[in-house]
Amino acid sequence: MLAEVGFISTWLSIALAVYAAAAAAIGHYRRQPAWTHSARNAVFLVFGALSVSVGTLLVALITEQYQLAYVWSVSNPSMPMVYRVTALWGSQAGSLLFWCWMMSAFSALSVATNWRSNYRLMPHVIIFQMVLTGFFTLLLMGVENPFARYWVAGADVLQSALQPAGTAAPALDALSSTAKGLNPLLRHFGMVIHPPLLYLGFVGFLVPCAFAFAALATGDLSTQWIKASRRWSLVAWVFLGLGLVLGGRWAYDVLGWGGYWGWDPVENAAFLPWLIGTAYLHSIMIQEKRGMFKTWNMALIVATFSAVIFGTFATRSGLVESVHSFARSDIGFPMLAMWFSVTFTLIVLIVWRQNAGHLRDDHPMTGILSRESLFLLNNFIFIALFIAVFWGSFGAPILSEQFFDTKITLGAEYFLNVTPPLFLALFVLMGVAPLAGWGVSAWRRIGQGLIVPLLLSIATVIGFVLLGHRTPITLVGYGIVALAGWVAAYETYRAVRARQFNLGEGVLTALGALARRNPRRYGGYLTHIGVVIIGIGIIGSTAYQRETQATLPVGGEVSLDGYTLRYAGFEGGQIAEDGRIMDIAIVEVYRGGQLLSTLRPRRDFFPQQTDMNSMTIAAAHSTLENDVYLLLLDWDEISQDNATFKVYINPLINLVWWGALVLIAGMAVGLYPTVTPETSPRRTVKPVSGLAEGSA
Amino acid sequence: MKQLRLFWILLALMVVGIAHAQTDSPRTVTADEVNAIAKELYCPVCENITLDTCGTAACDDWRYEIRLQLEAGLSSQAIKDDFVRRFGDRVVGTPQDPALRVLSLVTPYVLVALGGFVLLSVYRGARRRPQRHVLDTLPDDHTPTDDDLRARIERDIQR
Repeated sequence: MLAEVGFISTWLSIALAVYAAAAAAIGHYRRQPAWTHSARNAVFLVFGALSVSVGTLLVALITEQYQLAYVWSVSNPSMPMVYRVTALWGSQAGSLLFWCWMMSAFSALSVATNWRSNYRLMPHVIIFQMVLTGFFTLLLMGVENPFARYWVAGADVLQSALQPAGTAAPALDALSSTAKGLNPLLRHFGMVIHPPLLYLGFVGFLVPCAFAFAALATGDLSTQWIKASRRWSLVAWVFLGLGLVLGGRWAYDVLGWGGYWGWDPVENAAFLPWLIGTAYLHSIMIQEKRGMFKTWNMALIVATFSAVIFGTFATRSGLVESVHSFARSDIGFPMLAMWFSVTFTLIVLIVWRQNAGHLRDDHPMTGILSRESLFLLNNFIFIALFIAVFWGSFGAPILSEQFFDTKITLGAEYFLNVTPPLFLALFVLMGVAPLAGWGVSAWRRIGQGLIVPLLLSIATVIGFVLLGHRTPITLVGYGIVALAGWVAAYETYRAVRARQFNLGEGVLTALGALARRNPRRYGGYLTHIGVVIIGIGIIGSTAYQRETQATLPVGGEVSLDGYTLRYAGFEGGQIAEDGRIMDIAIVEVYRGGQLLSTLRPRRDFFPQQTDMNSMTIAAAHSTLENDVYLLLLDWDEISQDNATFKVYINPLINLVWWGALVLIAGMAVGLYPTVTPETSPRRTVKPVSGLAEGSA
Repeated sequence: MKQLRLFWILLALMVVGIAHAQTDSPRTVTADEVNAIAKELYCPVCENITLDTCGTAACDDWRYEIRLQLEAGLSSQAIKDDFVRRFGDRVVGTPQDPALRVLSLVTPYVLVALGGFVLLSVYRGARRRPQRHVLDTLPDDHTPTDDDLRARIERDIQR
């Protein structure tokens, strides 16, 4: 019954999406508002229908309906409830359904919140959103039907949502005893929230792109489309960023290589839209403030959404193999065709409007040293990063295979050569641009604003030298990154001081008032500080990571970077609730002869898994200074006397995770609605008698 | 006495022989040395996973092979070259083949330079005075809101 409900509601959502797009088109072009209203209602129904589909699959997972092929392939009776729920996005079909549901949710919410204020744009917003939602849902049902069930016909096993003639349902006992269970790599807290956040980020960019499409199609090319979609862009950007950070955390905890970012093509596929999206978020400020870069902003949001679809295609089609990607699938070609169609259509619209003169700027660029030109430079660096990352991840490997008949890999060596100078240039701009004014600025003004942050940055670098970080190039990196943070902090401090001096407010009151009056500026500063903290964490953990590998007898010790690790014992064959068998080593961590903690690195074995059935689970002693990260690689199966360990010291790595929290806080402030300054209280104005007399 | 001399000669020969045998025997290679090279090589089977972290049995064998090659006195570059010869350029982070290496490393800079050219044209375009006469030169976010308007009207009434 569940399969039928899910199957029907999903097909219904496709029909409704098609109807919504068609009705919106009729409503707009025939000027019949009733059709537009009907389209809006259909958008809500698409969301409702897909909610039923997702709910159905979720219920099937929770209630162990193993006759559904999807449920059988991603769960088994021993799995705890939390992983039953997260199995919804644990494989291609479920995650694609979840993706479609999110698209419909964003569509419904954006239409509901903009219906009155942006009615003119609504028909085209609906057309864009529903065409894409309909396409992805159709792709889902056509290629990866999550409601397909197993049917037995003699010795053959068939998969179909509806029962084919001459078949019978297989015995449930046989299905539950052979159910595969979730890929062990996905049984981690990071995987509980990393995919939804990433999807929120990806799908979130649908809204600004739909508004851009509507603006291009209707010719309403004022800043209205940007104002209507700015919050959506910000939310999408932050969720995408958090998804990336959490993905890094998952890799750090689960993949067992001591790092969090491997420049893997699939990781990079999610990073690419973030890069362009960041450029876009900066660039739209210029259009809002000065009415400039209209074509450029259109191009950036199109590129961002195009990168989203390309990233999805790369991850789901099997274009690249990775621990992050889904299995090879037939959805590749249709998705590529969709990516091309959407991108091509939007580019044609931009070119058309540009040639017709509808995207001309309201103001000319007045000087090289202005905030708008510095933002343009910032955009250029983001684009350069995009090019470098895209080339390394997809361009070079695909072209070499096509034209040189050989496959190549561009790994960390390539990325760590090409990208650091670009990132540092971005941090320089992050420090300088907030000090430049709109229109034109003087070097002197910027220079004066930089003096205190520069001194603080020098002090920060001295602090790192004292910590033992003494490589000149990394010290330069620390200095530049810190400068960007100190500029943001110092500008906020100055504003707080001004309020304290003029209004007698306390620090917190002044901070709160500033955030309420100009949430974008102070939210932006806080976001910058978050990025700076992440940047320092990345430099420290990349440049100063230390590692060693040692085989130790029980009681044996290995030392690294001032830490001593003692192999204290072994607990083999521990059975967890979900049926996994855990082999755990017990290792004591000492520093200066003092016991700091006892770590339990382990190897988990999943007896029911047929494909990948073991996982190396790292253990770490975490402080703000560093992580002592320990992996159990091997051990003597019989005596358990000897075990092989890999030890990493990862300096400042926790700043990466803490910085992400600051980033969220910055976004929260940035999203706060701007408070219009209150009008001054009504004053009683005395009539000026002299004037009155004089006038008489 | 002669026998004693013979004994000393034999002992000396034995010591020299042992010393010689020791210099010929493979040197001790640490796991860290193996990992340092394996870190720069990619698993020929599993894409995009470096050889030092790959958990497959095949990669265990390849790491052992690196150990043997180090023990035999091969340099790090010679070992990498050997892997490239056997499995192709995909096993290294940047290709060894000169043409592919140039293609890989130079192209992004060429593309970025082209991007710079585009940026310059955007900048030049933006420097030109817009053709459309703009009446309202105030930034968009300074457009009076209803509250502003109401406040202004109230002020006017007060006068």
